[in-house]
Amino acid sequence: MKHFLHEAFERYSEELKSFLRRRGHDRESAADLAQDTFVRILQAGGDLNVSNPQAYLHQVARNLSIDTSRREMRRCPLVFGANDIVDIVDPAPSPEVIVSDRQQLRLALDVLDKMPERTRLAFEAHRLGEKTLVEIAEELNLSTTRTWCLIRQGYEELRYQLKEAEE
Amino acid sequence: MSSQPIDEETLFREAMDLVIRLQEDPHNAVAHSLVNSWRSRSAAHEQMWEEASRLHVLAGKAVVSRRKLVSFQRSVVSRRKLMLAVRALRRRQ
Repeated sequence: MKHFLHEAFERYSEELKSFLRRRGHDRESAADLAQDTFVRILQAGGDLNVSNPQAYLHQVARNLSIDTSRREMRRCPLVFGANDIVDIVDPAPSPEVIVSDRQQLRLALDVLDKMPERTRLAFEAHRLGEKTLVEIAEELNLSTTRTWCLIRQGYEELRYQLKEAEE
Repeated sequence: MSSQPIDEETLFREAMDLVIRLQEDPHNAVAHSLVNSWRSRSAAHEQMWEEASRLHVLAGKAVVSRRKLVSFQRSVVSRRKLMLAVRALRRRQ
């Protein structure tokens, strides 16, 4: 029996999604990676006529999953020690706290949207640990000190807006 | 150590500078010891450090969410491309 890509897509994409979910990806990311699995095979010539297409699909999905997890670890390294996080995070937030967390997140997204382009670029690249301050400064054609100030201003604005919202 | 009162804004900037420094080089022992000694200066310092840390965590969540929103918008496009590719393949067979 020949397994063509579109048949495999209809047959295995749900299964791949739950496989990726079990590997710790959220729903959206699992759906993306399941799609990417087929794209990857398509790019490699679209040949699924192998002895065990299911195993092959899982292997490709697993490789994509590993790559993605590694990239995410690099992007968002944990800055504070475990103790600091425990200090900050309430182990059992009340419903009110959850609501207020969401409000804070919405507010923070709004602050990001309203940032001048260069400030946001610097702020994001720094916060995700994608680039060093020196690299960001070079890219934006600014001094390192100025770049540092832009990032700090971003935090100042965030703090100001949160305080405003509390009142 | 002097115990003269420092205004809130200066305190916040100092705390944020430490956060930025730590984010820049998370495994730097000097940065960590600077943070520890800064926090232990007074209750106000400690409190401000906690506020700065919370803002740092919130900023992280916001930046990641924003990226996800942007890439979701892009993935809608790539999903359409995939469906077109699958359809083209189907026609070929």
